[in-house]
Amino acid sequence: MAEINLSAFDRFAADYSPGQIIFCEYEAGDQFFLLQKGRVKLLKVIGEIERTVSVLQVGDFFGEMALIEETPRSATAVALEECRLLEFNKRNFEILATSNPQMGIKLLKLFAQRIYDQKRRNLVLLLDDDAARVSDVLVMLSESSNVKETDGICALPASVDDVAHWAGLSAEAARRALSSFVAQKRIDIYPDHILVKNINEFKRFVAAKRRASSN
Amino acid sequence: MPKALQYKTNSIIYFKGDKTDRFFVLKSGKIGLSPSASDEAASADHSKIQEVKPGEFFGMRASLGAYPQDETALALEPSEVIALAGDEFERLVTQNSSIVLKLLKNFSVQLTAAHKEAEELLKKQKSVEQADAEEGFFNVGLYFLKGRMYKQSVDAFNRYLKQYPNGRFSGEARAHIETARAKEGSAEDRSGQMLPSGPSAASPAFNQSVSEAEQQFNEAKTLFDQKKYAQAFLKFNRIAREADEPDYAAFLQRTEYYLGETLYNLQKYEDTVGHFMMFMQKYPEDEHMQRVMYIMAKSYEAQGDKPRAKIFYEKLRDLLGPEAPLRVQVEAALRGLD
Repeated sequence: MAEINLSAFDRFAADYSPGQIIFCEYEAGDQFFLLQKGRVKLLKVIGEIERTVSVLQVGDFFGEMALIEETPRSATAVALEECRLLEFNKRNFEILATSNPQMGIKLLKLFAQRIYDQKRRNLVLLLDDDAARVSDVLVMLSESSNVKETDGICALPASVDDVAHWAGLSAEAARRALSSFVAQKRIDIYPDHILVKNINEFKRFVAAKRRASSN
Repeated sequence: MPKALQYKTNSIIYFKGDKTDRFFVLKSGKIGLSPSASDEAASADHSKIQEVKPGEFFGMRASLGAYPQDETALALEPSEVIALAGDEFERLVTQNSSIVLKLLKNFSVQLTAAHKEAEELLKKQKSVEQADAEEGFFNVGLYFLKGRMYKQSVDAFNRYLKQYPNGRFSGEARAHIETARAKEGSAEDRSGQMLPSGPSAASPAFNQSVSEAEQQFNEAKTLFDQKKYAQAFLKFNRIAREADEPDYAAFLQRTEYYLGETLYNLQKYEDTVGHFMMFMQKYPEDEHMQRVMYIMAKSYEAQGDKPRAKIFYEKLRDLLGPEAPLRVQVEAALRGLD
């Protein structure tokens, strides 16, 4: 955030100590945050297990859905170290957005990305069968900028539970679909990632399924 | 100067899937946004078309984020469109801050719609369990409590009670808060476990585990040096699993490198490849990268996959300087594969 001077926003700043909760999943909230210093972990609790959604860095925004509509928080946010957050609600959000053109454009880009990500996730859910959904999740994960593909091979940083989550399936259903791909020697499952031998096969499979359902 | 473009009825401004870098504003006329990818389909089926009125921006998200366009834009009547370049758009925004607000509002509407669509699609799934919000909230506190993260558990239960003062679980929440408060700061308290690597407390418990992690790593490395690969693998694996603990996390990168080496020495070539693929992505600057690529190439060779072996030998050759000793071996290997 070196290029944007945020000293005007000191009155919106709040400090958090390491391990402190910023908000809980399911909590009602109307604030939207900009991380100015430190790192924040977003996590979801599914039964007895924790799933890290992401680790946010300086310059990242989060909690923006609270600005848009009354919706409970979709994850728990915890400070991983000493953090300083700028906190905005609907009323003072306009001040942030119009403070300077770079900030305005940065926010527009943030929203553009969120819309793109949500629409991409929805495309997965529009597919009818489990194998197609799981395949499209693999394709979606491979489209991420931090995944590097070499000749169709790629390592996707996701667990079976992550895949189930994106596919909108139960863990068992996702596991079944993934197991058949393992048996077909198309993927290998590791504790913290899935190795895809040829992502292009999955792309073709999904494209064929979409064509079939639109006819 | 921003260009003003003229479009006849049914002509296309951009197709779905196009990558554009312009910011389009409708000056006069009427534009339709269609989810169809072809112009015949778009002009034929008007039921799904969203209309753009004069003065409105369209197709912005794609240009902002370098994504392909979501929809095809076609002129529903003779229209005039202004196409701004990135810097012209930025200048416009500088002069007129209300545009940003208007566009953000438009984006909020789109994001809400996409969010709602997701909820509708998920509702159709009977196989996915949807905990109700109150139970889910209470469960967050329970998760921290069971994980002995007492500070966080007290905080979470307090937040739950603030929102649901007479909730279904309020009695339990109060009881748990008492329990957790009593245990805060005790030896079993893991409230500090969320922290990044590096010992941050000087308590005896921490000092003990620093040397424990280092001890484990040294033992594993010794086994590796003694070529006791199966035992080394088990020990390295255990260290990797403990990586949530800050003191173990310091050894994770090295451990993951040795895990790959061990797998290779155990001749588990498929697992080696799978493991090192992830390693290369996670740690692109690792000091052992040349050796990793060499092992990848040899593993593919051992599996009889010549094309992939070749790819990795070539990648390695590009990394190596002309004087590097490994270069001779790599060139020889490549000749052998041809």
